[in-house]
Order: sequence, then C-alpha cells, then structure tokens
Amino acid sequence: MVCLGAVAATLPSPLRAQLARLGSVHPTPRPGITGGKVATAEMLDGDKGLTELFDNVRNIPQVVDGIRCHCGCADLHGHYSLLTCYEGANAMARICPICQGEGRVAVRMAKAGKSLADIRIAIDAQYG
Amino acid sequence: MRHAVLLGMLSASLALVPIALVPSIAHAQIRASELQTISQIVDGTKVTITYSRPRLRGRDVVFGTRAVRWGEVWTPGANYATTLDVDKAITLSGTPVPKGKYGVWMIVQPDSTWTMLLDPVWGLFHEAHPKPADRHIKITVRADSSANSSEDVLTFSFPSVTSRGATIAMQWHRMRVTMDYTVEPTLSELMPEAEASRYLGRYPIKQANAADTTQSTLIITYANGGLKARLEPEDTYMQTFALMRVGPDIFTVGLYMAAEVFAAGEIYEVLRPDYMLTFTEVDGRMQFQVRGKNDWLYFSGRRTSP
Repeated sequence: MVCLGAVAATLPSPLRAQLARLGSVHPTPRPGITGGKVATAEMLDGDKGLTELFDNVRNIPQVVDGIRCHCGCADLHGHYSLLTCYEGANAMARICPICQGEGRVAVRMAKAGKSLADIRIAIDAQYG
Repeated sequence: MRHAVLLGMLSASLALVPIALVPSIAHAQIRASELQTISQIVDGTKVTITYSRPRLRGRDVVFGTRAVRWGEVWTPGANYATTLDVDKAITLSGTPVPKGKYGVWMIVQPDSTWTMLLDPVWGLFHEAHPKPADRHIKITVRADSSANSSEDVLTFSFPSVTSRGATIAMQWHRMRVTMDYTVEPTLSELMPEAEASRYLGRYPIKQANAADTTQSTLIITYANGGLKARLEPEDTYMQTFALMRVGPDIFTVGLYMAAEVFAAGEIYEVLRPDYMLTFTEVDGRMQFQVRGKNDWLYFSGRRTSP
C-alpha cells in the first residue's frame, strides 16, 4: 500500500492536515494486472455511455488498480482497487456514481499524461 | 425506580443464563424504560446517545426526591448508564472530548449549573453512582428546572444543528439540561493571503455546452481570510461563496447564508464532490475548469485581469 506522504509533504501545512484527516491510502497496482475482467458492452446491456467508460478503464488497468474507491466498497471482502468496481457482470460501477466519477477522472487525467500520483490527489480531493 | 432495581437484579441473574438465550429474552418483553438510540452527524462527526427511557408514571416531581436526589451522581436514563459515543473528537461545552464511548453521569443540583461526568468505563448499572474520579471528563452543563413543556419520558434530542456543531438536550418532566458541542471541521475556508493571491481576478466563463450562450464572469477576491467568488451577473443560488481548497489548485464551493458572507458567517453547505474547480497556469495565465461528481465539464474560465 502507498500513501500520499511524499506528495503531501510538499503542500502547505493546512492542506497537509486536511489530507491527513482524509486518511487516504491507495492500493499498489498489482504487477501484470490487466483489464481482462472489466465488464464488456454485452454485460452492460449495450449502454453506450457506460460501455465507453468501461472500455476506457479497461485500457488503463495499471492506473485504475492503484486507486482506492471512496464510495465505501473498498472495505468489502475481495475488493482491491477501483478496478474491482469495474469487473464482472455485476460491477458496482454500473450503478455507483462515485465509482463512475472516479473512473472518469482517472481516464481523463491519464489521457492528459498525468501521473498516478496526480490522479490520486485529484480523486482524494473530490471524493475522499 | 423500584422497577429499575428489580430489573437490575434480573439482569444480574441473567448473567448466569447461557449467552445464546439472552437476545431472545431481552427483545421479547415489555420494559418500564425502553431503549433508544439517537444519533446526529455534523460534518462527518457522528454523536450517538444510547439510553433507557424512564417514564414519570404519575409522579409530579422527580428531581430532588428519592427518585433523583440533589447532589446525586445520576445517569440520565434507567437500567445501564446512558452512553455517549463520538466517532471523532468533539468539544463539548468548551471541554475536549476524545473519540470514544463514555458512560454519562450528571451531578444533580437544585441550581442551574450541573456537572456532567463522562466515564470511559461505560456499561455500569444506574445504581453505581460513581464518585467523580480522575478518569472522568468533567463538563459544566446548563440545567433549567422550569422548561416550557413537560416530557413524560426522559428524552434526549439534538434541538439545534449548525455547520460546526449541535446542541444536545436532555429533558425529563420540566427539567431540561442542554450542552453545545462543536466538531473539527473537515475543510477550512481559510487560506493565507500570500497563497490566495495567485487565484484572484476576473475569469470570463466559457460554457461546456456550446448551445448555452450565457455570458458571465467569475470574480475571485480575498476576504475574511479566504478566497471568495461570485458570478456576474449574480447567481441567486450561489451568491458569494467560499472557495475551499481540497487539493493543490483544487477547490470546492462552500455556500453561505445570504446575509452572513461578509460577516464571516457560517458555511451551510459544501458542494463536494458535485462542484469542483481545478486551476492550472498556462502561458502565465491562470485558468480553471468546473466539473461535477461524474467528472462532466460544466464550464471553464480564463483570467483576463488579476
């Protein structure tokens, strides 16, 4: 598990304190992780918007696997990362706006060339 | 109170009964003082009070009688001592109370100033009447023996809630004891002026939806120790709002009660994660994007003047 300690140390102290209170701890991306289990268009009943989001998440498993989901599902048995929210026919991200929002932030920022550390900060700031 | 004594004896005897039998017995009978749990969340801090509720049962006077004697260390409830559970630290009537669960006791007085004892050793029976000890957190609370209305059943409530805390009230008959508490704010609207200066200025807005031709400008200023923003023309819902920093160059919106903005008033709602501003500096000019919970872009702005 990785924390934001190194990044947070560079922030002004009030902000540092705020982040500390958020208690954000993100998972470490698993070596060799793939998006092979991410729900497909068929599983998503052809929902265009969701299919686009899930397809985009499938393309960046090494990023999404390094992000903690803040909707509460992170504490469920068998949950590892935000990627878990997108896996399988009953993927929580089908219905959860937080899982979806975090995924969209990750996809947008990854496409813009942002690092995993930057993406984590943005997600913690908004959903943490 | 005699019933409560008998209940205590019964409870003690039940300790000998196999544990598996206790829940069904405990839940399947009428109790003179039924159990209640009441909670209040303020800014993510949850305060929970659990207590058994004695009834007057025809008594005209309770306090200052054999039921509750003056000077007695009394738990405001029946059966096992009332508990107060705080999932984050709070400040109760000016006294810090760390996260934890406490037995609640009060030193009952005929005047309006009572002392409440929070006992980290919770779960005592009401007859324990613990003497004030070093382990107790001692808090001065207000007691009013002539409340306007009468409560037949001892009642805890949270009659007022603000952005920063709430009031806890305990009332039985016409005796009403109240105490205010504050929570530790999750976010601060304060920001040093030196850090805030880079965001100040006028930002003409470009709507994400090209069909939206609304012409408006976001104006960011520094006041009362923090960043304030408003839309021009004025948005009657947003009015002047606080920009609350939640990450490096990332802000959310704190809404004020209308008249309180420039009186350093309280924020009554924070729009995270629904309304997020992310600033970037491009070619020496500050710009921002506003996105919602689902990361959809609402609008953006680019500074024209500092």
